[in-house]
Amino acid sequence: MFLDAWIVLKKDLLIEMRTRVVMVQVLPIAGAILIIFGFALGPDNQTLQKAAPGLIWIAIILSCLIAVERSLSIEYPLGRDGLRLLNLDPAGLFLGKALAISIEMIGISFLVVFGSVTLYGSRFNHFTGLLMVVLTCILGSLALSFIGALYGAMSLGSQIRETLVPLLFLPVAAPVLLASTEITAKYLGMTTGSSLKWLGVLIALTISYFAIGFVGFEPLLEER
Amino acid sequence: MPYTISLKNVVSVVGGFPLLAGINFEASFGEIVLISGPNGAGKTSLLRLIAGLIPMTQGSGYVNGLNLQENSQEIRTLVSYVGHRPNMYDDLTALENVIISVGNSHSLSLKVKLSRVKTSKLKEEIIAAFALMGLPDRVSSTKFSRLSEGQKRRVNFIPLLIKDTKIWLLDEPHASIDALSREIIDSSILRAQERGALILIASHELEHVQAIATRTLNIQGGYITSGDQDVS
Repeated sequence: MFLDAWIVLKKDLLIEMRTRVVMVQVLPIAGAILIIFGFALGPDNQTLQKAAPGLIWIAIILSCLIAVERSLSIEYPLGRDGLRLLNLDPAGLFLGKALAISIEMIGISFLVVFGSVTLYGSRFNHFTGLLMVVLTCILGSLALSFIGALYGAMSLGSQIRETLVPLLFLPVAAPVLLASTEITAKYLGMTTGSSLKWLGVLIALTISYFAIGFVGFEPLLEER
Repeated sequence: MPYTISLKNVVSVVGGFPLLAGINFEASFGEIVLISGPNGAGKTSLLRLIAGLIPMTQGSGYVNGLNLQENSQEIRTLVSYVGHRPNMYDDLTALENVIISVGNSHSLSLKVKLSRVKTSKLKEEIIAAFALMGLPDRVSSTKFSRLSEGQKRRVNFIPLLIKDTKIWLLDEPHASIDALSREIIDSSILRAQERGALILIASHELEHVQAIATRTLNIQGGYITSGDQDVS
């Protein structure tokens, strides 16, 4: 399984390195979302800083949606038949696709946080805060990628995949948005109190989405 | 001698839509069977069923002794299926695509995944196969999307030569290709038959494929209307 996952991960990242779609298209979209929200909320720094944690995660989730679409579009020439005929372990295929998306998303999420620091003047309350935001970016990206890869398989043979994926993805991404925003808000000094329970929620979501994808990927790839 | 493929009253329904409506068909190693019929008759569905890609809803079906209903994943490792469109990654080179296609077949997985020495030997085999398919050296390092249609189809055939499976399922293998490509693909098919492979070809190009086929069957509306065998 892990060797199959490695093959898929390497293949997806190789294609990304050659086409640079995530770098050239998805990343600027994330930046544009931060800027547009900046215009919508006005020039008041305090308002922007207060809204920053939520805006960061909205930008990350919308970028992830595009990254999932891109990851799916790589597989269109093969389709379900081609993927199944590669004789890869379905769990390995799921893991490889999800890890490729998450590596891209972790990079994007770091840059979005950096964008928030630059555009909104967000500040981490201490060094641990920076580390916690980094951890949140990693966990949040993993959780979103697991569920994105799963829905990708579900919609691969569908004629309405462009609308189906967002419809399925966004409701399931909402708990990740909530938990990640709470943790990020705490370490950007916007809320007080412990964020540990939200970190627990985020870890639980990441594990649950991995487990659902691991088990659900194979049946979704098959035709019924 | 047991048949390599044996289908009895096979029905396949996908998403509530009947694709095959009671197929009886048997074939043995060493045959080249042309499957003819109009568009939407069920030619592709029959190949996909035998490849374990669509479910068998009713009837009984065996491929090389494996039950189609229970062993579809194992069957996929035994067959080589070429769809009517080249199914490879546009942004990988032709060589990378072939390595991915053959690298995950069970027979070659250890070669590719675990042994660098054998992997490079495999690479040599693949390069030789490119030459056998009449493709110049530079094609192997060219992005798949930049190849001509005929070159794409010939590259799509290379995994079949390397994997050395004994059951080939070819869907319109001669579509959109020139005379030279046809000749090269036909030679590969005939070489596979000489090795004892069973080859099923779904095609509209009857005259051309009949020249190499050992028999023809006609399919219409999900039934085999002629050329089938009495299995009652």
